[in-house]
Amino acid sequence: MTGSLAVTLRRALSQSDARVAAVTLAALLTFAVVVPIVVPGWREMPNLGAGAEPPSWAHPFGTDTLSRDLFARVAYGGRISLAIAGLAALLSLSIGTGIGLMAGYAGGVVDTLLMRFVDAALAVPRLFILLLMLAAWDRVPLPAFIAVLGLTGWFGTSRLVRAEVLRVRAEPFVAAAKNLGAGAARTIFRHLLPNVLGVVLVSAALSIGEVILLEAGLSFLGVGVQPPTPSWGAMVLDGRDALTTTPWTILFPGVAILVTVLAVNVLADALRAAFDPRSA
Amino acid sequence: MTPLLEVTELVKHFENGGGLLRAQHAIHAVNGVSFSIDRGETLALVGESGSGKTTVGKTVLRLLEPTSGSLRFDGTDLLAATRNELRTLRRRLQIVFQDPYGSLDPRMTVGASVAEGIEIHRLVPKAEIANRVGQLLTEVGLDPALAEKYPHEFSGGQRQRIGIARALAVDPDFIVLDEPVSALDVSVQAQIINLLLDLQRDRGLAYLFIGHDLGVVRHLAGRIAVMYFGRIVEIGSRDEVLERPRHPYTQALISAVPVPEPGSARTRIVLPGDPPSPLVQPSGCPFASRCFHPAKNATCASQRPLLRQLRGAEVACHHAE
Repeated sequence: MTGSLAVTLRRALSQSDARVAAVTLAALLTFAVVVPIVVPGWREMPNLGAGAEPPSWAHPFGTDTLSRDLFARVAYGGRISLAIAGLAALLSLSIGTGIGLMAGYAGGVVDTLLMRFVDAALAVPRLFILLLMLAAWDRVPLPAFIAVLGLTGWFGTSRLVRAEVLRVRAEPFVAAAKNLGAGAARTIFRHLLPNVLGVVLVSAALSIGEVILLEAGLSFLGVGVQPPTPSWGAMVLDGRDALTTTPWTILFPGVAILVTVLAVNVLADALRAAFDPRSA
Repeated sequence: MTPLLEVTELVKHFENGGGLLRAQHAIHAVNGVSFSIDRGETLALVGESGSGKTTVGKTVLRLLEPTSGSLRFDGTDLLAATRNELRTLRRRLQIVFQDPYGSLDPRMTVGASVAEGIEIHRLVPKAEIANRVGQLLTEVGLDPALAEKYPHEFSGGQRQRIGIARALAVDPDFIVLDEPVSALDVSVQAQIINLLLDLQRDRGLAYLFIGHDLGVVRHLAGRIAVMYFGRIVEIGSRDEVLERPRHPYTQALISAVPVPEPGSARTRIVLPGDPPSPLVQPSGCPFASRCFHPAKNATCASQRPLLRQLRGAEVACHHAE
């Protein structure tokens, strides 16, 4: 199975757009990891009162109204945003996939209870649930923030996975496996999970983009990443009033979000196709 | 000698609806079916769509739980078996499905599909699995090198061969063949039928062949059971049923088979109407509404005919003589 994973990755990366997306993501990650070490001054305000300065050799992305170097801030904010998006999406996908498999495979009462809970959870705006949960902290620690985002993001995924499980479970090959003596674990992990992974990957792409934007909104509302710690979303919202006068303050973090979401989507789509042997 | 498989008064109802606001309906798919199959024998179960023949096949394997009735396999009560006993028993009862596309996991190489039963029942040491899979593929007429390929790379006929290899992998005594050739081209059908006959001869397999094509059934079956509306209406040896059909429904089925000689005389019996609704059980003969038998009378509408032994066959018709 590990061998087939390597094959799948190689096949996904055989498409040029997927390669571009993978390289872009790798570059963004490197940028977010390395630049804050080399240029550590993301919280320094060397020239307070001078206002926002446009990009120059000293500050390639310019500075914000507090004279902080935006290059350093975009890089450091990348760490925060990418960590939040990646980990929260991973958490919500794992839970959503697990719950979806359980509901779809078990059926009956288990399915009814789980799906009615999901219905109820989806009926409440996610932002509202998040605000309620995050109100427990004065300053939300990052791990808690990630956990809360992950725990509120799996409802849609579980529905998608369940629907896909119901479709796959009706296929004769599942009956054949049962008749060969396959137990629940084997049926779920060898037959159902591989056949629903495509849906999970599409869900992953949507989820990462959603979390980046959600994190921005929550940070703006004061319950997410707290100043002076930057995140891409928080920076965009910070700069929104100065869009016409100092557009660079919003341009660079905005482009970073755009590029990330785009690259994740392209990569997820390539992976989804590569997981399906029929598309080879 | 006790038969390999003994099915007695098998009943399968599908509960439908039964929600808070809807009345519960039971679809009577199988209504008291009894038959037995000996080692190495083929019983064909024929009938139109909806007659319950596939449900019988799946219930016999307990892929569906029967509503009532008894199932004995090689002297063991299949319905009383515990989960573990059932798992062991299932090795000996296998199935080949109609749909060559849905019956193989698209995410598994065909080698992995064929190996699955071997792994579950630990039939050979791990190191020899690949070798065994190769033998099985060869046995069904495929190149062992194809084990690394995925199902979508094969034709319908090849996939059916793979499905057969998967069933053979656990060395069964009995295989339910659920319309295994009806989705295939005629030329490919013949190849698969010949393969099934060869395997039966070499391995002493018993088959329950489910189908509606009497031309195919003629090649495979030793005995034939004709199903209508969840019941067997006629059961007997192949020649008896095909050459001297006594039940009017069997006669109609046989008249629908194309005759290979142009111009040869044949009277086609076209049945009027549809089978009755499976939600309501008629009190009389379920075939009465479509019956063309000249002796049809009031008894047919009021009394359900039971299977009766007539020379060479059992027939459920008041006027079979």
